[in-house]
Amino acid sequence: MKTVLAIDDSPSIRLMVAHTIRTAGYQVTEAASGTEALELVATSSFDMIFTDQNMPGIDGLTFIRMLRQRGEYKHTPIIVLTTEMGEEMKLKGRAAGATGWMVKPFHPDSLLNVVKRAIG
Amino acid sequence: MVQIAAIVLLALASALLGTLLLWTRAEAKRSGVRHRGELDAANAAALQDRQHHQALLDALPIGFVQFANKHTIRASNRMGLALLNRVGTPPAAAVFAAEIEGTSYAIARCGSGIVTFHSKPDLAPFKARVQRLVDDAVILERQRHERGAATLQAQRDQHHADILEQLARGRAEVSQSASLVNDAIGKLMPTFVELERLVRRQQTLAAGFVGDQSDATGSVGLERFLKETAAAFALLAGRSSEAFEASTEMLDTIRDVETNIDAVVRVFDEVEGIADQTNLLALNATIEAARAGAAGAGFAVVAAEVRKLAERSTHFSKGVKEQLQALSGKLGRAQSQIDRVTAAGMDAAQSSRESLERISGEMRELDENVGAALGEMATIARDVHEDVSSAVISMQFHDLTTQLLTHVNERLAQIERTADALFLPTTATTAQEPAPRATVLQASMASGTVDFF
Repeated sequence: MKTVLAIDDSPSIRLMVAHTIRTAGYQVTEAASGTEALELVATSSFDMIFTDQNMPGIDGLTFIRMLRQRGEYKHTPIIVLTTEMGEEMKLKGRAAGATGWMVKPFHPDSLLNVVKRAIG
Repeated sequence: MVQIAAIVLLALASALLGTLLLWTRAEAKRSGVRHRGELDAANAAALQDRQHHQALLDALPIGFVQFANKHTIRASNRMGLALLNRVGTPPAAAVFAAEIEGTSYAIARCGSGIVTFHSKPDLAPFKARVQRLVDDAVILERQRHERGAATLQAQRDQHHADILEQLARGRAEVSQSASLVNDAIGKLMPTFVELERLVRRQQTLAAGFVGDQSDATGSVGLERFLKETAAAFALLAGRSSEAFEASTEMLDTIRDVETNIDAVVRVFDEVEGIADQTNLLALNATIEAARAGAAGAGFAVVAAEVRKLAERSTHFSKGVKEQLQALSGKLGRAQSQIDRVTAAGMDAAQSSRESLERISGEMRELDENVGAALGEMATIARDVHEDVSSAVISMQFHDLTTQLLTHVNERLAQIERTADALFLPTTATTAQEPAPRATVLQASMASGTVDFF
């Protein structure tokens, strides 16, 4: 079963993401911060990652930059799921190593399409 | 001589009055300077305000007037205006009274800038009195200004405290709003998720119940149950029909047997008739043998034997007929019973057929109803999924509003710092942090875009 890591400081967003992806048959692990996510990726492997941008502590783009330095996550699909919709931020996300940029609020079907497109 | 003395006195008086005038003007000038100096020291900015300056002049208990020309005097403050109103605009030698704290001094104007006293004033007390009044006025004004400044500072402090309190309340209310929204969404979202899960489960169970396949619990689908029940009814009806046919065949056989028995009985009736005729012939032979005498003795014996045989034949025939009739009676009872059973079987078969048709119809109707209900349930499940999806989108307002409220709090903190800088001069030079960057630009809850890099 494919595994997805959902990082967001908002419990409700994590629940929505996890519910949507789990319903389609994927295994989902939740993290409330970039720090918690870094601990998880050190002990578990994930096929895909969704991360919020604006979070206390390590923000989404910083997390991506740190994660891309790890060999096993060099090519893992990482989608920034955020309220940020400015082109400048998107370019920063791309430069940080994000695979895609999804603006909240998200439609569950769109989220699922992104997952299927990324990891099938 | 008297005239000379009067002139001397007049000159002395003029000199004295001139001296008094010069002193009075110098004092007035000095008091004015001191007054302005005090005001400057108290608040340079306020002194530059003409209206404030005028208010200070008006508050003084001394009338200030200016001689515009020989015939015109203009009031410089409120008390001066009161004095002018009392005496009217004086001519060159007009006289007006200055009332200062109940003390009346008659002051006469004599020409431009010349003041004379019509009475004989004791100049020393007058000077002291004027000096004291001026000093009192300055002190009073200083105190008044200090009180005003203290009051103003107290008011500023109060305003500052009010602003800080309101900001603190605003931030607390913003945090409370965020907490309430967070709490509500925290409960609402699982409810929606559970609702969708239950609807999906319900649909799965219904499909498993109705469908041909068994669900995870191993229960048999209604459709399969209906098919098997219909097959059982058909088999039952078939067996009933076969039993009916077998019974009918059996009845036919029994009727054939009865017909044969009747034929046999008739045969035995014939045999019995033959035996009777044989007996009659044997009797005639016996008679003829007796008539023949000894010659017929042997024949009589034969005739007697023939009669015995005829009697035995009759007896045998009757016995057989009785047996056959008994058998016929039993067959008749069996036929009656078979008739009843067959009739009952026919009724049962007919009833079963009718029941089968009725039940089959009901099952078809049930199947159609269940199918329609299942279709409706699938539609409902899809609708619920769509509604939950919409709810999932809408409830993400929580994330947006939480971030917006965070920005509001940051802006309130910024306002708080600005208020500190405004009301606390010592913090005025503190570097102001930049206003928070607006990261939430969404104006509606329409779902956002997706970009793959």
